Amino acid sequence: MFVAPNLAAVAVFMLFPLGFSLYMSFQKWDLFTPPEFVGLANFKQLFTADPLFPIALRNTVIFTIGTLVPTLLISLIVAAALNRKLKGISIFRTAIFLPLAVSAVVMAVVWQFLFNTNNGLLNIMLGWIGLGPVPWLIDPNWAMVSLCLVSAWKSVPFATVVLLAAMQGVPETLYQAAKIDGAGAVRRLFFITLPLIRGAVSFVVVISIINAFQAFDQVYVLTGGHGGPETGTYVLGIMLFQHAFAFLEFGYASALAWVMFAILVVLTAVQLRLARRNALEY
Amino acid sequence: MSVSGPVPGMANAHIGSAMLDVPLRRRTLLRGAGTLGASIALWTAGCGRDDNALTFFFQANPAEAAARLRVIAEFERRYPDVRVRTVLSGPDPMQQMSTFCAGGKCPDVLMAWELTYAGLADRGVLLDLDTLLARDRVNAEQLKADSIGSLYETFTFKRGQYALPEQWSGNFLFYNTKLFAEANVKPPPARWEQPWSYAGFLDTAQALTERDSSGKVTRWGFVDTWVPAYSAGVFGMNNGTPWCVPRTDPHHLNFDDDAFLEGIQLYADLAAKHRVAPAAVDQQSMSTMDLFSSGKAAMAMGGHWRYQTFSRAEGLDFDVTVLPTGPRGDVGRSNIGTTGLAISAASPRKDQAWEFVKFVTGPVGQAIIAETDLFVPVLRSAIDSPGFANAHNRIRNLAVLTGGPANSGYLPVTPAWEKIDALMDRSFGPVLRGTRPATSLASDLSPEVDRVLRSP
Amino acid sequence: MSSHIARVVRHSIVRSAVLYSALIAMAWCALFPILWGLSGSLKSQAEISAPNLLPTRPQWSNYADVFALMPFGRMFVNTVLYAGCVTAGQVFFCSLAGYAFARLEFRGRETSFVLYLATLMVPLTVTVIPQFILMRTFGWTDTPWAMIVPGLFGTAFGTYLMRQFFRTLPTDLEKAAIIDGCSPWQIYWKILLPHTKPAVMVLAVLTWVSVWNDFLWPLVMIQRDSIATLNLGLVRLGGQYVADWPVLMAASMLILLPLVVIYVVAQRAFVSGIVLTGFGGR
Repeated sequence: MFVAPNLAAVAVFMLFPLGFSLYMSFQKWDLFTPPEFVGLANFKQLFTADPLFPIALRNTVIFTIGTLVPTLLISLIVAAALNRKLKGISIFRTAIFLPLAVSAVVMAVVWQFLFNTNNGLLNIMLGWIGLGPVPWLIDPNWAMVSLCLVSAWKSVPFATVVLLAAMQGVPETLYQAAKIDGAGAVRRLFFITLPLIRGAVSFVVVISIINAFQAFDQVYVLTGGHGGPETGTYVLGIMLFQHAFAFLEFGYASALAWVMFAILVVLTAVQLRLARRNALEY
Repeated sequence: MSVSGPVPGMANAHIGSAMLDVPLRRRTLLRGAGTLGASIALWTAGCGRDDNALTFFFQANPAEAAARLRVIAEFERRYPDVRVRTVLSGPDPMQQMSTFCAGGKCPDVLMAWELTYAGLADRGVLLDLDTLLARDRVNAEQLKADSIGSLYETFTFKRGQYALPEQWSGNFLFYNTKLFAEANVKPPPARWEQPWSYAGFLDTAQALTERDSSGKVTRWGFVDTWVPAYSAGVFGMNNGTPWCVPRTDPHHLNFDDDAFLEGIQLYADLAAKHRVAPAAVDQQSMSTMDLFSSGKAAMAMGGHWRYQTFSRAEGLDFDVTVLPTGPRGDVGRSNIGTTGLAISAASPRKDQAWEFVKFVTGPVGQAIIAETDLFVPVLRSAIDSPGFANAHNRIRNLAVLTGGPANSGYLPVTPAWEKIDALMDRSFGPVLRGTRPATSLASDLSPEVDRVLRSP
Repeated sequence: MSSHIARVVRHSIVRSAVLYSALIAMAWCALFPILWGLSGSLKSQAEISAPNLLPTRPQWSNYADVFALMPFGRMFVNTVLYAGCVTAGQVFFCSLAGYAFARLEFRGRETSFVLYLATLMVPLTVTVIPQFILMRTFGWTDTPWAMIVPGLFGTAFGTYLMRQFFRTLPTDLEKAAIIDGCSPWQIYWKILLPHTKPAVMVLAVLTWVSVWNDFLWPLVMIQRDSIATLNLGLVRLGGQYVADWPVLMAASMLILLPLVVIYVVAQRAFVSGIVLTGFGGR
């Protein structure tokens, strides 16, 4: 049958893990000794007795916001700039979208080089304008800034692509009418473009939140598998990895994964409801 | 499974936009054929492998790896029907070992660290070597006689022997003899039996720290090439209180003990108060290793694994000395740092693994190790051998190395070390930066650590 | 009158200049990490902290060093193989299943499709641990099978994509074929497939990039260097040769190169793919 292989794969590799993960979240299991049923104890410990969970949650929220807001702002501006019929605009587009091809790991390694306090370009550039070197990856707070910087750099092209596509769908006639009415470029942006690309903006927001919440690759490579200096970049993705593969607490890690899933579902539902309510009919 | 989790909805919009009427068939066929051919190649390559090799997992920088390979080559020469395949660890060896073994493909021979092996031992991942030692009586007795007790016991956990030690990696101080002579500073003690007071150590460090006109430090008195939190604890240990009692599987660490905390504070003060040591911020400009190698630091705390790097540094004349003793301590001690070799309990090649472990930790392997200047061996015969002395003819205070294992204090051996390490990393940060006093650890760190140690 | 025209012309020249400089600045921000990485890869260890972009004497030997320090060729072949197999499998099985869901009537079609949609929402973190355990049960840890099989028969997303696409195709083609008495397979293979090129391209590019850039899964599955992927090799290299930046940058550039080539060649497919999954924001 046409569907059989695909259906089987989805069942085995997606649906079964989903259920099994839920089952595991009620166990205490290290994969060497037999699993032990503990009911809701994992969840209870997660919410009440684990000092690292609030830290991870807080860091993840900071990271998500710290990536999302710059990404959104910058990509709006960049998309607006690219949404023109200038000569050679396609070259600029190709250049600006290039980071899409970079893997999180390669990106993190290259940025590690940039962030290096002695060798790094960033501190050299700061030196040119007379500022002292910044401990980008050593100080816990700066480490989070560095992480957000790298993630934003990677996310901006993605958001720009989406927003640009949406902007290109806005009919020229609206702009012309506004121009005749005397509206300047900035007012046109705020009152025409933004409302009409609301759908794309909310899509970007949802996707960015989902990705930032589970971020692991660049965090692991940039600041290590222990969550950076003094757990400064200890996000939920790292916490999950650490509990599963370093502490061998697979049950606890599964409980954490389901909590993350639940949070994401709620966030996405809220976001979609907000977007739908504000959708412009035109 | 890697292409997953998007939000549907935009799918319809974009696909239909670029319809091209180019026949697809040829491309698909070509791609299919290519993949088939490649798959066959992969299959033969992947499955035709001799998985009968003995896998040996260890962590080593490139220089250490070379020394390891020498030992392995010698082993393969004597046991021609055993092939050894090395698996070099990435950045976090403990996590990798846990993951590999959890995945069902545990390497046969594993490098064991004194701080982290207990977690695996407790879970039955490591084989209790007593069973093999019992069969091999003569060898076992010889081994016990020649070993240094404290190192051997490091790998004794809950009455089982889970690894045999292969090197002593305790910490001591390297110091730059040229800088000491230039500044006319009295050379530090040459053996562990001559304790060096913290006050004397601090004076020396201050005398050797140089600053330029603007007050910026151009030469540090002391740098640490180990893990700062652990070094701080060793300073605490040298102030009269051990890390914990008992050593193995403790239920309490002495993070609330005054003397221990005072020692930690003394360590932190070196950077934060007296400014004879660089703070973490200063260290990123140049690694502590490079600082000492280039003469920008007069003393460096580290273990023997740094020896080769320093001995290859150009223009660096150095020697080794003891760690300082705190005001409440009686004698300076190093830490019982040791790595050993363990065998995985699920290994299908236990006998071969045992031969390998016996070889490396036995007289022959240890003698080879002694000749390279990379490890300090753990068998007395090897430590006292002329080969070892020859490999270290650049330094005079050889007694610091040979007497190290006997003059060492212990760090805790507990299955929960990974978690404790994470907690320590978090709490020590502000203390080491000087923003919080060491006494804060009593209220912040200690209860959490104890809770982790008490839960099963 | 002419002064007014002159003013307008001047105004528009100024505006173009501003726009172009803004675009150049944006392109620079997008590209400078990669360019700096490239420049670093050609510098010697001594020159590595110098702020000049162009190395004084390009050290192509760094690239040779990469091949000497890690089994790059082998890892490249591995990664290509994994990506190739999974891509081919995805494209084939997902288009089959997508066609079935779109055009064929069979029992349970709607319910299974709803299940598919459900799995789309599940984040990676939930399924990683159970999939790890599955691989362990099958004995596929540290084998190429763990890298290939889970994705080989297609995923829910690929099927979803193809199904949506098939629904947009006009039905007249099939109607003619059905009258002629063709079997569903023949309809699929001979009639519809040639028209699915855009969707197939998008899915192929997406899958390829996703497997190429995958990090967490190889990290927990692969032990031997001989079956490792490029990303994993890069991280292991970084762990061994800490701060040997020229070599690390050279390795990063080499890993980046194939994807950049794909990006430049198939930019449109790449870009629409990014929009569809939102995984470019990770």
